[in-house]
Amino acid sequence: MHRRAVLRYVVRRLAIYFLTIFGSFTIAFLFFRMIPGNPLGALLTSLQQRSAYTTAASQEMVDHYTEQLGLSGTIPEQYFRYISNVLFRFDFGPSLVAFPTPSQELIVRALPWTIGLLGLSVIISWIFGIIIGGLVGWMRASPVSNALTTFAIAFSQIPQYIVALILLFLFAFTLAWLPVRNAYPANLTPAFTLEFILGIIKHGTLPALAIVLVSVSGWMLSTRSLVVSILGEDYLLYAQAKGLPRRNIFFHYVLRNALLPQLTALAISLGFIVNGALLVETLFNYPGLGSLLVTSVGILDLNTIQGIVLMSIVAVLTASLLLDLALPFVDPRIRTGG
Amino acid sequence: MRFILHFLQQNKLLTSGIILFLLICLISAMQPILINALIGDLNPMEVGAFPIFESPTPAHPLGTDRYGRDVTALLLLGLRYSLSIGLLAGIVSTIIGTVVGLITGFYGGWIDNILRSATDMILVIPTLPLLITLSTYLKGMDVVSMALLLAAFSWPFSARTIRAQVLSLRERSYIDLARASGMGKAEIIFQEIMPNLLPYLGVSLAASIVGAILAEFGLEVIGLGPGNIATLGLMINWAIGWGSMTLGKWALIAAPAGVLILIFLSLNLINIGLEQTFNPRLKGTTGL
Amino acid sequence: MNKTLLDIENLRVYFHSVRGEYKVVDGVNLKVNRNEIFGLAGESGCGKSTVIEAIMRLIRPPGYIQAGQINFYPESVADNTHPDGKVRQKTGDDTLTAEQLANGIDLVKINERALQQVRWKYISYVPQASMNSLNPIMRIGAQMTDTMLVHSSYSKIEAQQRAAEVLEIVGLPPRVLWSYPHELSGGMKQRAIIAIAMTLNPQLVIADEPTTALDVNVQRAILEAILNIKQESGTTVMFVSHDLAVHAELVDRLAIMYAGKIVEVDTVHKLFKEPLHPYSQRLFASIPVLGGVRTRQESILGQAPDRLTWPTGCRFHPRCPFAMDKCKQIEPPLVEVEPGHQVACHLYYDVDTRAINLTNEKVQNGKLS
Repeated sequence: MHRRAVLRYVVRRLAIYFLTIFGSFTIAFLFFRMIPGNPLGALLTSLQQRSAYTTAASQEMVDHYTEQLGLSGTIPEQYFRYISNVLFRFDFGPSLVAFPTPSQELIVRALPWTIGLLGLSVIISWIFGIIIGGLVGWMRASPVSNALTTFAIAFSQIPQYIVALILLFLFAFTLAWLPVRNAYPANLTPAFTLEFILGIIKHGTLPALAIVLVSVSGWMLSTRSLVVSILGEDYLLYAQAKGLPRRNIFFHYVLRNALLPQLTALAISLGFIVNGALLVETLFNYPGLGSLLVTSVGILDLNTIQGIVLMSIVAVLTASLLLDLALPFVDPRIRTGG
Repeated sequence: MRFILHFLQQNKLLTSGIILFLLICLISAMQPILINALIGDLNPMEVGAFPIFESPTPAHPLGTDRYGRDVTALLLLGLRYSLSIGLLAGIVSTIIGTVVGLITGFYGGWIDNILRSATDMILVIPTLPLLITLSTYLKGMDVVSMALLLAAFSWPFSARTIRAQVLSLRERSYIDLARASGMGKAEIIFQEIMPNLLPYLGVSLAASIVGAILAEFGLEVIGLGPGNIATLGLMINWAIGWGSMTLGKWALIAAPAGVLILIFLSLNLINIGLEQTFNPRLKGTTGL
Repeated sequence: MNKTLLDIENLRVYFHSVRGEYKVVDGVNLKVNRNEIFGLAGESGCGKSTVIEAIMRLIRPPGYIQAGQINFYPESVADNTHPDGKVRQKTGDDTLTAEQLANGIDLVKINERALQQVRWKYISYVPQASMNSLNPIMRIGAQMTDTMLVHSSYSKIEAQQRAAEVLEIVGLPPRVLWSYPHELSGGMKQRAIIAIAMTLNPQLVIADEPTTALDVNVQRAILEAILNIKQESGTTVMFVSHDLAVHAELVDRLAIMYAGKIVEVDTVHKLFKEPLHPYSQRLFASIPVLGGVRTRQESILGQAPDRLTWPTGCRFHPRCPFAMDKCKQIEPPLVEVEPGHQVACHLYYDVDTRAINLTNEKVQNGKLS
């Protein structure tokens, strides 16, 4: 492929990337502004409670906070102010959940937990799913393979949340092996010590297991069906005719061809982790983006909610952008535009 | 008719999925009668109708909850709610998705570009945050508005699948033949493309129903749904709130979870069955 | 040394289905001689590709080899080594001993390991669907050398040199080694596949419709490539095609297949000049003759039979202009009616008296001009 063609492709792809972020966020923004609740009410009530201040808020005060929260003016005005703040100052506006801490600070604080828990779980499930699914598809006639497939079909139907409940019931309540909630022991302060890291692992095991169990089944099934369809390909029959050893055929012809589409799927599901984090994080009271979101929604903390939504949109689109840019290096068919 | 019977015999997964799903629908349709048989004329939601936290007995097959309500009756209530939302949202989103998918896939050009960009934009918006926020502040949402809200965010998934299918169907030679023989575009769509699209519509519908039920369940289970009806998710939310796990009242969680799993199982069996039947690449090659 | 390289006896390949067994190949008898190009012809659906797949043991469920033997008599490995020492065969970890090989092996019976040993080193294959037979994400070179590294003592570099060498024989530049399949045209892919079949100088190359779906110029090049190979290494080639014109140009002996059976075998010259079986006659009559008298194309009457329920007796009788009562009941055996010429037809061989009658009046009179 010519260098200019590459450049044109990259530029085009980047333009689509920014346009989609912009469009998606605009739709989400408008949606939130149409919600009839009054975010200011919650703030004023909590301020009144904090300072035992009982008289009604003065108009001046209301205006002050409206201004500060970015709620003054018409919706287009609010929109453009928000956009320029985010773009030029990386300022998402003050949060309500922990007023007046800026939203971006809360988000940045929650982000590592979500990425750590979800990202790791997704990658672990992907690796296991590919290996098991590949073998199960390769030996699809064996009874073990059939049993595993049936098991996976059944398991993949169960929502993660319910698996998490079952795990909680088994390991936290009945056997009391693992802690029920939070990301680390309450008596420890975050530090880079062995004790603290062990605490994180202990607390992360159950939520991660819930995610892994369900998504391993999903990856396994999709890999299996890919492998089964590859087994029907002419090039596989040919590889067999060439007298290659089974192991060679499995790794070089079957798994390698199944890996490409699964790589695409991995990038996309990594992008969607914010969405997936919500329920499991809430159940385990895990201090990630999901929990932050649920708290923010409780008091209509628009700045924080919008921030999280924006993060999520950017994550999904960035994943797919990176994928599109990286795929030509992995898949020879795309490289030469064949 | 005989052909359909033979076809179903050949596809055990699909058949068992359909039977299971019809059974669930039947139970849901007979809900008033069943509730009446269980607890008479009482409102299932009425607090204190029976002793609290009762273990399963013949009168209360799944026991009673913290407020002395019959769990089975509540379950029937929740089943109908979840199913109605799922079906309605699924149908609406599949219809929108099909129309958009057909138009973009068949006509291509600028319509395709614009609609596809719009689809992509909606696709990447995280749905759950929006739904949670909306349902928290739009109090008293009924089944219809909830379903429409869910459909508003899920149709792009159907649209994408259908578009891909239409694109591949469009390349088939019999479509060229139809075009060459002077068939109109509408005629081609309805006579040539639609019949071949049906299995994919089935897959898309089943997937949308699952998605809608799951999303609604998600809202309820974290206690942020409309919250005026005992839904499956809300029942789990209550049970966790009451500490059923520590109390050992696992049936309060297991019952709604089980019903949910059954619904999903039936729909996914239909899905897998359809794919197995209509995707020749998944079937063993005959070598003939 | 035995003249026969491959001896197929009573081969039956059935495909299982809910409606019954499809007897796609139903009692095929064939002998392929050393160093010849043997052709197999017949209309589509007659089972010729299935015969090939059975030889390669590539029949996949629901198909299975119901009965029969495919005896293969390879020369011992040492004899096969190229004079210039270029082709090196691996002898170390083989399961088949030289003795076993010398006595011949039944390809239907041998186990998976022995099969792997036979494949490519002794018998290689040019598949019908060669457009899709190359792994789309592997370079051609890697797909050529992987089998060489498994079956021979070539080092990686030597394997690549040999790969470039066979590419040259089929008329492809060495850079093809670094290409991916989608970068090649259909004809180039087909030639690459033929080159892959040649890498280890096998004793038998089986080509299944290698020229079908290619334009005439490319067909020409492919045929030349096959002839080159034949000359280069004296390999025996089994060539399957429905195209009689291609057979006429390429093969030494030709077998005509109809409805899962062989109906006639002879040298290609003899067959073209004087086909005996009524089906062969129709088949050859349907080739347009360049510069010949303009005649209306005579089609073979009626539909090809259903593979689920073959006609009783001679399978060609519903379409045969000379059908007799006997043809409807008794299946004619494949008999040698003159040296080297086998035919399965009641017109030339009386099953009861075992008498051979080559000048059957009916045929003479009814013969197509």
